[in-house]
Amino acid sequence: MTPPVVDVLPAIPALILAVTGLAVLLAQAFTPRGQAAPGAPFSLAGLLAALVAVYLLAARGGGDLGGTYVVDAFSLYFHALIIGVGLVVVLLSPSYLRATGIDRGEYYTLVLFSLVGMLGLVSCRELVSLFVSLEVMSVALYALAGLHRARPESQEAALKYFITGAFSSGFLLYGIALLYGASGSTSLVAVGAALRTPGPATAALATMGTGLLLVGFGFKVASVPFHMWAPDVYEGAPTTITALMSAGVKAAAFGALLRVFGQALPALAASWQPAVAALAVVTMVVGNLGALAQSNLKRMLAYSSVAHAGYLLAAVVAAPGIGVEAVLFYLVAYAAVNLGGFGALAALARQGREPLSLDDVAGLASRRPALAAALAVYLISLTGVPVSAGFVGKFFLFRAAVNAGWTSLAVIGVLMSVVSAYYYLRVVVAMYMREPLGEDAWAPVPPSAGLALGLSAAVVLALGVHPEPVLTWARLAARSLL
Amino acid sequence: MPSAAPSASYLTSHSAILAFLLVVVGFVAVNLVLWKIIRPSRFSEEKLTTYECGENPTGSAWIQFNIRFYVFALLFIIFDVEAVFLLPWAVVFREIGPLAFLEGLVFIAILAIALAYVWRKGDLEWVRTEDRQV
Amino acid sequence: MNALMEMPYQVVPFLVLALPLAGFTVLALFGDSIKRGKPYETTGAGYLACGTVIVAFLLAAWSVRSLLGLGVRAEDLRFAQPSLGWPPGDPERWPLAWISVGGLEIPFALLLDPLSSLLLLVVTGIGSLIHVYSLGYMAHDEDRVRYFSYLNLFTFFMLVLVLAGNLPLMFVGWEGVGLCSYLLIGFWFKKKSASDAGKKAFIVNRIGDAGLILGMIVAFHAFGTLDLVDIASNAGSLTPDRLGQVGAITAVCLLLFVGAAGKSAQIPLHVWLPDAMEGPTPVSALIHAATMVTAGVYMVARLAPLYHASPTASVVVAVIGAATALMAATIAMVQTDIKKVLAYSTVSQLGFMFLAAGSGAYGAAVFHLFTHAFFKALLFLGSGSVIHAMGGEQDIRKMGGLLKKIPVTGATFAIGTAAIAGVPFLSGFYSKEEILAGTLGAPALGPLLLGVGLFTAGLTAFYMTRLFVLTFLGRFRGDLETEHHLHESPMSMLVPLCLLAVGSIVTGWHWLIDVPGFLQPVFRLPEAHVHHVGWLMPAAIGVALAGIAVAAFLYTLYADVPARLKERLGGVYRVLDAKYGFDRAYDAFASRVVVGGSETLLWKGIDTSVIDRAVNGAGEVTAAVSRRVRLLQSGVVRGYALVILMGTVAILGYLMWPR
Repeated sequence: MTPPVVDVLPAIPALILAVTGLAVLLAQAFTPRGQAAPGAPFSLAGLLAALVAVYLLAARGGGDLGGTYVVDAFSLYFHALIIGVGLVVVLLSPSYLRATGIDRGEYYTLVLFSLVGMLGLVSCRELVSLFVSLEVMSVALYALAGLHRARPESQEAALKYFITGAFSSGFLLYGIALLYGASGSTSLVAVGAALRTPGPATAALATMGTGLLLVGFGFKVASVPFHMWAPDVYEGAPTTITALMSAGVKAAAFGALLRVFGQALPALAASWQPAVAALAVVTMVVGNLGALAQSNLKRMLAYSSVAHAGYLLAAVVAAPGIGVEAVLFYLVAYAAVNLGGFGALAALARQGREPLSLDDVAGLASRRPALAAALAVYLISLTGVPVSAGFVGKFFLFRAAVNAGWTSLAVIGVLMSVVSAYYYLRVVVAMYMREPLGEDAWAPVPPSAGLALGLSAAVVLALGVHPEPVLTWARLAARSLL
Repeated sequence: MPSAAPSASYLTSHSAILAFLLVVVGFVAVNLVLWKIIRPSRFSEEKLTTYECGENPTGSAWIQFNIRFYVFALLFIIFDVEAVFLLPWAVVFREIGPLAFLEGLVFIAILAIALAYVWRKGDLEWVRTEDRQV
Repeated sequence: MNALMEMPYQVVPFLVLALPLAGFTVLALFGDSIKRGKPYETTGAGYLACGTVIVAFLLAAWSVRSLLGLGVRAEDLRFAQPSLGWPPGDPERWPLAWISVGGLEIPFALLLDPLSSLLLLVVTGIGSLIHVYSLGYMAHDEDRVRYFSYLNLFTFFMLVLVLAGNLPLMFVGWEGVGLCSYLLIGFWFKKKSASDAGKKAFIVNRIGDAGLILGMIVAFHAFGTLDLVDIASNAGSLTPDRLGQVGAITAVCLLLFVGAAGKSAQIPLHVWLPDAMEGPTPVSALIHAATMVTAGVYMVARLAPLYHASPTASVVVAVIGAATALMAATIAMVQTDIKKVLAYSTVSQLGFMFLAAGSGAYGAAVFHLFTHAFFKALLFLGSGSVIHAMGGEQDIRKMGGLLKKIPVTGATFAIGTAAIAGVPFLSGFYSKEEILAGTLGAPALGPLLLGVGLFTAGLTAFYMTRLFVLTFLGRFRGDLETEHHLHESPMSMLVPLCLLAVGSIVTGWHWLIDVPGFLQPVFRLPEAHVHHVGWLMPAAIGVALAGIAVAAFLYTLYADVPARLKERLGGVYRVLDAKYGFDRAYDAFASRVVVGGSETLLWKGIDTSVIDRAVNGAGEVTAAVSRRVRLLQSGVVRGYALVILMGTVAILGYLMWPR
């Protein structure tokens, strides 16, 4: 047996993040007790280096690590998105961590490890490594959700996320096992090839495996009925981590979903498409109606995140065609908006107090005009009003559904978007048309958070006005999946 | 590793396992029920106490354990798993050559970093240094 | 052509656009803190606003000079497209498609040709002077940071309008200047008449804009493109036997002219411009005399081949122009507010420009636009200087004899008056003569149009002389207090006046600047058919001098005659004073038909009883369902796992169901 030659280069971005995470961990360990290691600058440096590595990889035309970990245009697109999400989260974090008293170096380590998991999730072309990546991401997030040890809600979030997450991971793993049983391989390409000529027994196994995979991914993207953890976890987790979950995890999970269903399971599309469509419908309806009844802003955004999973699933139904590029584009728009939305809430936290209810943001426009304007931009984009990224994104999502013959999905999506205007714009109204209650309880917006929020708002508006470049990349990425 | 998709006969050949399972479960169930029927049931307080290798039991089993046990258990598992991974690695070490050595080194280095972290955090000592100082 | 030579087209137009926008952004974002800051910060804000426009002017001058140096012909009109990447201007790399929907591809393209470069120079050049003038005029207004930010924003949008390479982009500028006009007319919004005037301007312009939008839609339908050069060149190649297309051209021309009439205050949409004088006087000079109100003329000239292809539309344009010129001139004769006289004079002069454009003399129209920009800006700024000296008084009946008190203002005002009246050797004389000569080339009604033009020219000389005499000659008729405070304006106001006075004299000298010749290639027409009639020039000089003489005699020597005339011709006077009753008729229509109809039928009949009930009902149902959905979320993690399991069973059940 000759020693295999492995091209490590494609894994460099992930490796950079992993090594940075370890370095931050050691730095924290060797920092005297009571002090915080410079985790944020370390992480920023690592993330920027990883971004450069992604750029260089892209210039090199990607690569392939032994057939399991592949860096094609699709993964590069997600690499850039996930690392961008990481950058914004790290920029938002220092002030928030100080304000809530959980300023620990391990925070950044865990964030970086979860990012490594996400990178793996979108790059693995092999089911077992895909599962390992998923767990690397999830385990770090379980810990992060419970980082706020003094808050019972945070503990509750960590525990609920862990228990339900482990439960759904079981389904995912069982689905992988069944696919292996049906095809004799865990490589996506080999599974896809094997399923094209199924025998009577393997067809049943493969279909069942597909269903279980759908459950596993459905949990990660917070699709109804696997969404019930989301409101509790989004509410309890530190707000910056909520931002990471809603932007990063959702993107990575959709990436993996598209890759697995697009590369391994296109032969079964006729059976899984109606199932995904059904999920999309209940997710859009339940997510939006749930958000309508919320008074807590984080819970409201959590339900909104569920609802948006529904919109995205509507385009996944059209996945083999133009659905993929629509999903890819919307993930960028959606990531920018959610980072901004949760980031704005995080930036206002002061001494453990966070603005959580409508009353807490009443009259924000008169005290923090720039922040209120940015938050208004995010909410308007979530609603899907023109000249925002949300509008362009939703347009492409629903167009994909219509073109694939699922007009009913688009109709439900548009109707539900109308419903969503009520709860999004309610916040805008509170910020702009009500008087502030009591004295100024909000923190001054720290510069790094201001940079992060400005960046997100700029992305939202830029994509709304001129979506072409990102759309072109999304198209390239979608093409590489086929 | 079967390279082709498994056939129906491949699945039926596993029916032996099902038979085995039935025998195992049946054996236990039959015995439990049988003893329940034929044993005399005369309880006394002595007989109902917990068996602790002849010692007199003190207190209930429902007590809070020191959280430190948890950390140690975790550490134990980590190094246990390390051993599990290193064994197959050692088996194919010669065939793969220098690359295997490198990969093993990386694996052990990561664990070493974890160990260093735990050590610096004082979790290797039963009474942590910081706690002592207080 | 090397890259450096290409530079002006590809990059400079965007720089010119970016400068005022940058000025606006800075002033708008930091306006509040500047206002609360030290006095020198406010002054600095004004200097910043001026600086951006002056630098824009210099850049524009440079790029126009290079344009001239290259000897550009109509065939190689240049489009500047923004492009990311290097070298700048390589259109192969990242062309910024602005809108791309279906078959409609609209690039963010700017067009720099003789026509747009002339307007570019007017907007930035006269804009610079008016910005500088504003430094002095607005020195004591506490909101001047806001004022300068609006002025910069206006400059930006006006440049977008002028440089746009296609109709939609032009429309962006069109709406933008409309917005700025609204903001600046209502600048002193605490005064009710000012905010009302702003709203009036906005609403009247909406009517025009509806026409413009319809025109664009029909144009896209008919020509398949909205690119200005493409439309113009398509129109030239159409033949009369293709009736359908000629009909479409007429429709497009008339619809677009509705928009032009709104913006350029032509009958029946002229009513907003006189009211717009509620804004600060430099605004009246810049927006409501020199630049924005001429946008309609610019658009018609820009689409010259299109209008040329439709004689019907051309005659409509010419007749409306002539009627507006005559009507506004008659009203101006009886106005007593110095700015109102100038406002009606502007309406009248714009009518002249449309008269020329409708007669096919597009070069003359733009020529008059060019000269008018100078002398009308001069007159407005001069009136501002008078108002400044009079402590805010605008009634010419309370003025008189000001020439001695404020000599520089008086002298420059005299030059402006002479220029607009058509005194030989001043700019207005040449451009007006060109227009009158052009009227004979009209597709129909040529002699009638010429007659109206000549008569209106005489009226112009009359009312302008009346204005000058009442304001500057005779003895002072105001109170002592005001007389005591009469003072000449500061240098920042006088220097622009003097520069504009020079411009009002020389811009017509065709041996210096041959504007019609410079513009000729743009219109893509056969050699202009100007019918120079021998008696025309003496006649034009004659009516001008007659108008001046009559007014001078009436208002100096026989000062009691006007009052007697007013008594004798009471009916005529009342009609003129009521401005032919346009405002009253519109008010009656709006309050009876529109308000009444919408209140009873639309609001109570349809909105409240049908739409509201449906909307509220849908909302209530949604909220009720939402309350039920919320109950599903119990918070018990076992329940969550159970739901996951149920979902799994449902999916597997569906997938495995035998089919």
